[in-house]
Formats: sequence, structure tokens, C-alpha cells
Amino acid sequence: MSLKAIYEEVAKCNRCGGCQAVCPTYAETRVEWSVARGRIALVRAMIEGRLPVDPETMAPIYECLLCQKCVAACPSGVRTDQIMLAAREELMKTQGKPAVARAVVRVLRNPRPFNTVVTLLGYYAKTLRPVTIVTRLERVAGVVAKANRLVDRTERRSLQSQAPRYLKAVDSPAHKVAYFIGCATNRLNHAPGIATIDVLQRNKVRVEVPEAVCCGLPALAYGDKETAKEMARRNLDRFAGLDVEAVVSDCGSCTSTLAEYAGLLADDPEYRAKARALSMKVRDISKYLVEIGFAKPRGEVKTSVTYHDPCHLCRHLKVTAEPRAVLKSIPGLDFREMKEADACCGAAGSYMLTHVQLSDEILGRKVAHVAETKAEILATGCPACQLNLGYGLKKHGVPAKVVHAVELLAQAYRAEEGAGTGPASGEAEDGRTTGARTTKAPEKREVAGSGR
Amino acid sequence: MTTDAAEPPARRRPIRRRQTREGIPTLPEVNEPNHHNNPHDEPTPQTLPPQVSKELSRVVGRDGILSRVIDRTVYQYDGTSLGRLPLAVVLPRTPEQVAACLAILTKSGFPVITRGAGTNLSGATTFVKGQAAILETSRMNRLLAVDDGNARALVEPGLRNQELQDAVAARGHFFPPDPASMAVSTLGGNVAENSGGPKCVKYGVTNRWVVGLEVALSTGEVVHTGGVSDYTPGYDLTGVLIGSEGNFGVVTKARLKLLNLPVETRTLMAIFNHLDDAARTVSFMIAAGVTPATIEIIDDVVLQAVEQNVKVGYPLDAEAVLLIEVDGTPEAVAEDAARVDRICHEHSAREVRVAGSEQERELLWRGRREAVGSLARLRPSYAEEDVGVPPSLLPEMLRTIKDIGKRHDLVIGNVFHAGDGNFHPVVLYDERDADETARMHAANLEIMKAAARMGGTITGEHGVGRLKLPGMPLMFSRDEMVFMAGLKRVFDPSGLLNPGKVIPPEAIERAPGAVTRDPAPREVVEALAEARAKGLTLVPSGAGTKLAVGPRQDTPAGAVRLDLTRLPKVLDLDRENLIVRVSAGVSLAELQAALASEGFFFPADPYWAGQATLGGILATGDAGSYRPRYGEIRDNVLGLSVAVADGRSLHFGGRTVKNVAGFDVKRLLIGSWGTLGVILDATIRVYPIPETETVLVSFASVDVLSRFAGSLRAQNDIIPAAFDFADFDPRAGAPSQANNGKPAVRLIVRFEGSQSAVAAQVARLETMAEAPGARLERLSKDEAAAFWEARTESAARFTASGRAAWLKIGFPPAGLTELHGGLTRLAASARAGLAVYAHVINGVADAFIIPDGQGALSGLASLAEGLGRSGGAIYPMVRGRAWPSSAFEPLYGRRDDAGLAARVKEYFDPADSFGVYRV
Repeated sequence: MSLKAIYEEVAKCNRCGGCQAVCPTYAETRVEWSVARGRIALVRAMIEGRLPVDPETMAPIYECLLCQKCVAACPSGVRTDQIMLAAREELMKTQGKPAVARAVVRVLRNPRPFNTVVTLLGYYAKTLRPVTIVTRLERVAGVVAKANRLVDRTERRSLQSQAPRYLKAVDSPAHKVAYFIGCATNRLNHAPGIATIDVLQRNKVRVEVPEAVCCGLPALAYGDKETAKEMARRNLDRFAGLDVEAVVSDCGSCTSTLAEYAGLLADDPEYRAKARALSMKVRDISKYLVEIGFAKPRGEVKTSVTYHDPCHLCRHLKVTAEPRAVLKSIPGLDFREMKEADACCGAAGSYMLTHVQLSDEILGRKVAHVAETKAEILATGCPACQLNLGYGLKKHGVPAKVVHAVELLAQAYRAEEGAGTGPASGEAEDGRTTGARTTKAPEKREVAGSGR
Repeated sequence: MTTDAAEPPARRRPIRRRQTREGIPTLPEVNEPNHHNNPHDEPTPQTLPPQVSKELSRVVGRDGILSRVIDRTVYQYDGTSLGRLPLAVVLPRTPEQVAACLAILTKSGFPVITRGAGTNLSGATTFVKGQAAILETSRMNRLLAVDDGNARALVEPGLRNQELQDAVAARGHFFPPDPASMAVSTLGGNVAENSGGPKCVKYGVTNRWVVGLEVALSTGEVVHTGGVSDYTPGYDLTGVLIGSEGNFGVVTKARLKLLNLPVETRTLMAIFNHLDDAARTVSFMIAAGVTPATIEIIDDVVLQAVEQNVKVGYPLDAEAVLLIEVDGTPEAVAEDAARVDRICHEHSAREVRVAGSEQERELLWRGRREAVGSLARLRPSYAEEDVGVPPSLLPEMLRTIKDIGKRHDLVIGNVFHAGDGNFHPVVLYDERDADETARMHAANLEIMKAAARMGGTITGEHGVGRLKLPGMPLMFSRDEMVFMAGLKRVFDPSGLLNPGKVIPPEAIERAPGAVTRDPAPREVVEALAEARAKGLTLVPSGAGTKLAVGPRQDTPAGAVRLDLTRLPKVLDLDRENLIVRVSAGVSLAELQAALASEGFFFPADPYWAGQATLGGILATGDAGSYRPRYGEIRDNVLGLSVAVADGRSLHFGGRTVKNVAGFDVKRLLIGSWGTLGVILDATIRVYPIPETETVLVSFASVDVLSRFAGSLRAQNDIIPAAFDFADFDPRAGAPSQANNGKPAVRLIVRFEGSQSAVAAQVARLETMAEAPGARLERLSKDEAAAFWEARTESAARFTASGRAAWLKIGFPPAGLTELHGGLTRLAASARAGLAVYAHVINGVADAFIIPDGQGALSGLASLAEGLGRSGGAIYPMVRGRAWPSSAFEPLYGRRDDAGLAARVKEYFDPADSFGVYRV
């Protein structure tokens, strides 16, 4: 959408200022261009020609997390996220793609994405200047340092290539789905993916894993709609023709992007129908589990857990009850709601690297709320959040471990089978079990075997 | 912009866009139809000169000043309007920084607009002419202290209302003002605008809940007004600062009062087929003296908009619903809910639903909260008006608004605080459509005119700001506007704090058709002229009961009494709206007798209540024992007529409970002891006579009593209407127990309400009083009447001898033990008798030392010092021999607002016709 086209949306802002109460960036800076009302005022000034479309004016626009907290709180329902994206798109058009966007998109576009994570980080470090407020060398060094701490591990091989190890034939399947592997799960941490495949199969779901490319969200977030469309088409080529009732993802961001393919390709006569069909079919894993009435686990997971709502999951997709339902179904698990559970963690894709300081401040607030619950486990529904939250907990010395909610479900199913007899599907390539990432000593866990 | 307030704005067609000197097209000014045609418009300002910027950044640091174009772009608007680009935005962190910034900017001649969250709906923090810098308080957002024992909180101005609510709710308290913007609006902003909200119908607006302020002035001074108690002798600077819309100074700290969260709350929704019936129900409810915590009305336009947006289950075929909430003790809630239900049904309510669960309640209120937003979704823009009328005129005003909407072809939704007659017609339009915008302005002006015609106000809670300036002549005479504009200069000699708002001098010059007032009575005018001519001191007086008390001790010999009891008397009761217009010379006894015959009373029982006149009671401002429930005298005065020193007759306030048009000048006059002007008459709020019961609980020591009082204050199912302490029995002739070491001390607790609500609370108190050391005594009706009458006579009795000293003391309620201990030691050392009477919750005490002695002097200094540290103070009502201190000055303490108070006196009374105030 162009800036002009977004003018009507911009005009809907009545400047009541209600967004100040919810905006994570405003909570840290307390300056008006850090809140939806101010950012919209800047966009309006650009549209009306009172401000130039240049990097200085755009800096606050890029500083938006797109978390949509303001959208949910806005009495007039102004779609600030759409306005921000339209403005970013406009900058792309007038100024050309910022180098960082080019870099991100180039890496993600690769059919075999994330050749090396370090390549990506290198790009970040070299090309940050044009789109962010980062101008000084030490800040760039800070970004590299943060990137190193963020990504404390990578997977040697992609989950895509390893998937056959986890796929089992399901006898007389009740459901058929395709699993969409997001980039983070694919190369940084297989555990959520393995758990997803596992819990689906245990619920009589036949899973197939077509080769996916990046969902296109990073390109969209930088305002590069064309690249995003290209990604969408490629994914549609692989997913549209499948005989499945749903396309399931463990990543809130990927899920929400796939759900928006219909809108993204609405003008594309060739792909329009396919996109609409896919957008209807895509499901977050916990939502899908609840829809099919997943089997309540009988194995115990004796620990305490709190849950962080990823922005895309809770506000784009309105999935908030389902992951909690999954967690609360697990015997022995002590669920503790944290304050502001649906507040952004500050990750927002590459934001955690492009806006290190602000992202860290926002994360600090989140971590404090996690710590308040004294929960041993922090569960969430998005691998990008997982990455950032893990970094934050470590940075602030909070002992909780971060997992995807389905990992705990998988663990409970395994516990149901009896201690030490975990199925092969629970083991990652390097021999770590998903459970080992969640608690210190799996063998110490009490197992409820009586149910069998 | 106010140049032609009387002309219909529709005749002027705003220009859509305009080239400024910078060559950048600007937006059509929102809500500013006249602005674009101003031929004398100055060029768009640039930034601050580098020298000034540098000075400022030395104060606030480099990150404390924003001056790029994009910075200024996001501070050129507030909750409703768009103005010019400010010169810069300054973000101070401390009171000293605020004062320094004000001094630097005003010294260089730059106007300063203080801004909190920028949510106001009156254009109060934007400007369309000249230039201005923004001083934003968002970085002064700490909650400095919550004092549970005293139910007080100390806050910085940038703290959000909701943040305070969240912090104190965990401790069982709440802060009653609840403006719709409370999620983001700052407490500094609430104070500056004297914010209201739904709950004000029961609890009153912001000015009832602020006891003290720290304020930075444009002179660079930082002064402290008020204190920790509800009543501070001296000019009520706190009261006039509240609602001054950033014209007087910048609030840098505020000390607020909190209440216990109600133990029970019930929400009812009454559905009406006819809007008229709903409005009449409210009028009747008010007249019947039912005071729910909120009475909100929602009309059909809004009901439908809400249901389209969020499904909360509002009826779509009704013309209106009333959303009513009652709170308090369980018995009171049950009874009030039943009364509300009955009244609604009697007035043709189709159905009355009671929220059965917290979820249902939340849903009903969610609809109310989303109302304006839901309306806003129908059209790109909306303007929310804020007029008020006496509740009996609700039906007429609603019809008028509907008519105006029809005539101008505009959709107007109504969702507002019906209980206090405070309307919020929401006019839908598109700010980019010049014609429709002009019609919106025309409609709003007509709505203001209609409200003024009905004896209402142009603004109930949003403030005048810039957008309601055209309505000011509807409310005030030219003299009054000139007077208020001059008063601004007393606080802000530079004239640079938020200029162009509320009452700009240039607007007065061009304001046609202002209100005209009856002149002051000839006797008063003549007496004033004579006093001026001969240099006499004139003492306005009624019964003359307090002529030698308080500040009047210093009245020079040879002063002339201006007897107001001889003037023609007016006593005009408006039964439907529970207000009375009464002249100053009417005695309280006459007033109460007249009211009692109609079932009403005025909540005041100060000393000398039997003889004193209303004028005297207003001038001294001391409410007596009614405080916990009804507030101070100032809280029950809606309007005041006064003759100022030069003989002009001025009127401030009006006939509505909520009214923020102009500065709150009447607050300065109430409690001024006749030293600022002659109070001629007042419009006061009266209340239906409730059932009452008075209970005495006696203790052997103040310490035990104090602990008992502490737990009683924390109790939320016992809500006393009076909560006093006495170490003597007012019914006995003299303080009997002084000096014997073990005084019998007592709490005096009065309950009000329905019979069963009173009985239930007495029963709870009886249970509490089973604790060791407490002895409870229930007074019969006659005994209670005798007790309260004796109380009001005690000051006269003690001071009659001419040997007693009398102290008026402000103290933190939880510090009763320390206060009494200090006073006891003091009296003992002087070998004098002591009698102490205190209004505990309000932190107001009277101590009589009989006879006053030289020995008392030394102890007094350290006692005063100790009290001063906790925000208290001691004032001499009847001075002991050889005591220092002048009138209005605390003993052994200096108020740093004394200079300001002296400037106020100088402004009101330059020739010193009324005497007394000299620091």
C-alpha cells in the first residue's frame, strides 16, 4: 500500500493518545515519536508534504516493533502497523532498498536459507547505518556482540534435511497436515519443530514436510513487498497442491504471514485463489491441537511455567487461550500468568539487532515480569521470541529456561510412556533430547505411569 | 481566534491549505475555523536561538531538549487539536530544572506551554499564533510515596492517573478522580485541568482530592501550597492553582488524598424506550438525594455504534440506557440498588438489569469506555463537547442538542455523566471537509449558548483552553474576565505561561455580549468608597462571632464593621437540583431551619454555628465535623458573588456541580477571612437529611485510641460521616481532665444513610469496640443533638475568659498520638489546662490552652517543627501572650508561598481596605 493509499487510515487517528498506555517503545523513551500517535503524525506530515521522506523522519517509523498493542487498544481501531509498513514501503520506493534490507532479503531468499548465520550477522554489522539510528562504530560492535550472545547455538544441518528421521507412518490417520518449517526452527533450534512433528503424530495426524522458503515477513517488515510476494509465490508452489487439511507452523510470525498471503497476492490473478486457500488452511500448532481435540497427556511434567504471548500470535491471530490450554492440560505443571504477558519482548524479527538498546530495554521489562512469577520454565509460541527471551534471561541472571509450549506437551507424552523410554522422535540430531533443554535432569522427573 | 465569537463561524470558510513562509503547506487547523483568515498572522516560528538552547541544555542535559523538525512535529497537537510547530520541547526531570527552564525561557521572552500526556480536549497545550516552547513533564513520573496510614500519596506530575490507581489498589485504596483518559493522562494534567470523571457525581472532582502542591513559577521560584491536612488557614492557593490550565505555574509535585476501595460495588443498566424518560429519571434521582457513584447516560446513536464495534449486549431498539453504579457498605449498596431500581421503573424504564458477575459488570462498562471510540469509527473525526446544566434541565438540554444536530445536518451522539448534568455531545465530522468542520463549530457554539442560557456551564471538566474561548463571554462579565486575566499576572508576572488560553486579555477587548451583573448593594459600594477615601480598614462581618479570631486578631484598632446582616436577604432553594442561593447575611440557623422544613440541610457545623452567618462561615471556610462525608466548605460552594475593593460586583462559579470555566477565584475568597473582598451571596449545595446515629468510643489513653482509630480508618465496611477525637467532653462545662495524666479520651463517630445501613455499621463498630480498653456509648437522638451543639459552642466557652490560647493545627491523621503527646507536655510545662478536638481523617485539630502561659512557648517551637516535617503546621487562632507570628502565618514555620499570598492580597486589595494580611 502506498502512502497516499494509507491516508484514510492515518486520518482516523483522533490523537487521543491512548496508545501511550500500551506502547512498549514509548514506555522506555517517553518521547512522543516513540508512540503510535506520534509516528502517525510523522506519516501524515510526510503525506501532506510537511516533512520529507528521508531516513531521519523514517527512523521512528523503523523503531516501531509492529507489535500491534496500539491497534488492539485504539478506540478508533487505527491500523498503525499497516501505516508503518506503508511508510517503509514508500521509503524503499523513493530511496531504494536500504542495504540491510537488501542483505536480509538476499540471505532469506536463498532456497537453502541461512547458509551460515554468521554471514547474516556480518551483513547486519556492515550495513546497519542506513536504516537505523546506529551510527557509531562501537554500537556496531555492540550489535555483533549481542548477535553472538543471542545465537548461542546453531544446528549443523537444517531440520528440513533431517525431517525424514522424525516422520513416522501414522496408521489410519485421522488428519493430514503439512508442517511449515520457519527459518529459525530450521537452522537455529530444531527442538520446537521436532516436538511439533511428534505431538502431531501422537494425535494421529499424518505430517508431511514440504521444502519451504522464508515466509517473507522480514521483507515485508522492511517495506519490500515485491520480495515478500515472490516468497509467497514460491511457498504456494510447494504447499498449494497438497492434499492436507491444514498447514501447521510452530512459529507465530510465519503463521500470521501465511495467513496474510491472501491479501498480499490479492492482485495476482494466477496466485490469488491458491493464496486464499492457503491462508484459510494455515494454523498455529497449539490452535490446531485444540481444534482437533488433542489427547490430554497423562505423563507428568513437574515444574512451573509462565507463558509469553508472541505479538503475531496473540494480536494478529488472536491465539491466546490455546497455548495456555495446551500448557494447562499437562499434569504436574504449575501454570503462572505473568504481568503484561502479551507485551512485546522486543525481538520483533531483526529489530533486536537493529535497535539494540531499545530492544534490550523492552526485553528488560519482560524479563522482570518473568522473574516475578518465579517460574522455572518460560514457554512461548515463536522461535524468534525464544531466541530473544533466552538471551534476556541469561543477561539478567534469571534461571528460567525458554521452550516452545509444544515441547512441554511432547515431554508430557513421552513421560506417559515411562521413564527412560523416550521415543526416537524426541531425540535431536546431536543426541540432545528436547526435554533436556527444558529441565536439568530428565531422570529426576516423576513419571505418572499408573495411567497406562 | 475569539475575535468574533458572536458571529456564526459558518460564515467564514477555512482555507484547506496555506503556504507558510517556509513554503511547507500546513494542515487546516483543526477546530480553528477563524484562524486562517487572521491577516495579522505572524510568520511560522523557527527554533530557539542557539544561546537559549545552550542555556537550557546546561540545565536539562543534551537529551532533555528536542529541537529537530520531527521532534517538534510530534508535539504540535493534543487530544483534539493541531497547532503550530513549537520552538522546542524541553523534558526536565526535577522541580529545580522546571523552575530554571521557566526562568530561562520567560527571561528571553518565549512563551511556555506545559504538557503532560497531551490528551486534553480543549486545545490547552497547542497554539496557533506566535510561538511557544513545550515543557513536557513525561520524565517526572515517579510515585514518590504512598502513605497508607494517612491515605495520602505524593506524586510527580508526569505519573499517569492509572499508574497511581494500580499502585494504591494493591493497598486497598483508590484516587477518586477518574477522567476517561485516565489510562494515559497525567496527574499533573488532571490537576491543571481539575479533571472530573464518572465517579465525580459521588466523590467530587480533582480539587477535592489534592491537599498540597509544589509549583514552579515563571519567576523561577518553587513554592509549596497547602499541606498534609484538608484545611490550611490562609489563602487557598492550592485551590486556585487547580484548574488554572498551565496559566499560573507548573505543578512539580502533588500531595493527593486517597479513599478506601469500596467493599462492594453494583452496576445496573436501566433501559428506556424514550430518551426523555431516561433524562427525567436522573433528574428525579438527584432530587431524591440518591447518590450513586456514577450515573451515565447513553443514547441510541451511541448504543448502536458500540454494538457495531464491540458486542456488549446493549439493547438496539432502546432510545437510551442509564448505567448506574452504587458502592459502599453491603447494606447501603443493597438499599441504594433497590431505590435506583424502583425509581427507574417508576419512570417508565422498560427493564433494569443488574450485573450478576464481575464479568457482566466489566462488559457493561467496556461498552461505556468504548463509546466515544465506537462513535469515532463512524466518521474520520469527532469533537467532544463538555457543557453542563443543572440536572433538572437534562431533558430540555438533550432535546436542544438533538435539534441543533438536525439543524446543522450533523450526527451527534450523547454519552455522558448525567448525574452531575455534565454533557458530552460527540459531534461527528471530517476535519478535512471545510464545510462540515464549520458546521461542527457552529453547532458547538450553539450548544454552549444553550447551556449558558439554562444557567449551566460551557465546560464541566475539559477546561476552556483555546477551543472554548468563544464561550467565555457567555459565562462571565467583562469585569470578571479582566479580573481573572489580571490574577494570572499575580502568579505569572511574565504572562508567558500558556498565553492565549482561558482568558487572554486581547480576547476580552474584543468580546462582545458578555454577561452583565447586578451592581453590588449601594451600602457596600459606598462603604468601600469611603474606606478607600479615608484610608479606613473595613471588616465585612455578619454576627461578629469571629472578629477577634484568627487573622482578625490583627485588625487595626479603629476598623469599621461592614454589617452584612442589614442587607436584604435572599434564600432561594432549588429543590430539584439541591442548590440554594443565599445571601451572606443569612444566619446558618435560619438557613438550616428553612432547609429542614423541606428535608434538606447544609453540611457545616463550625464553632459559633448557632449565631454565625453564612457569609462569615464562607469567609472563614471551616466546615466542622461534616468533613469526611461532605468535604470542606469550599467543596459545597458552586458559585459566589463578591464585591471587590473597588466596588465592582463579580461572580465566580455557577449552579452546576462540575464547572471549570475560568479560574476558580471563589476558592481564594473562601477562607480569606474577608480580607480579599466582601462575599455578597453564594450558591451552595445542600443535601437531604439522612438517618444518623452518633457513637462515642472512650479509651484510657490516646495511644490505644490512636491504634483503634487506625484500624477503623482501614475498615471499608464502616464509612463514618464524622470521625472526631476529643480529650474532653464538650457537654461538660470546661476541660475537666487536663493535667491529671490519664485523660479519658474519646472518638466521636457519626453514621449516616438509611436506618439499616447505619445500624449495620454501628453493629460492626460495636464488635470492634469489644477490644480491651474501649468503651462504646450509643447516643440517643437528643443526646447526639446536644453533643453536636455543645461541640460548636466549645470554642466560645474556652475563649470567653480572654485567657485562653487557641491553636488550629494541620497534622497527618496517623500522627494523633504524637500530636496529643506534644500538646500535653506543652500544657503541663506551662501548668495550663488543655482541650483538644480533632477531625481525625481530615487532619484538622483545635487545641485550647487555658490559661496561655509563657511556659508554653518553648515547647511550641519544637512541636511546630516536628509537625512541619510531616506537612502539618500550627496557626494561632487566638494568640497566646508573646507568641510571634502574624495572621495566616504558621507559628514557628515559614511558608514559602507567603510571598505569593501577599501578591494575591495586593492584587485584590491594593489600598488595604480590608486589612490584616501583612507578612
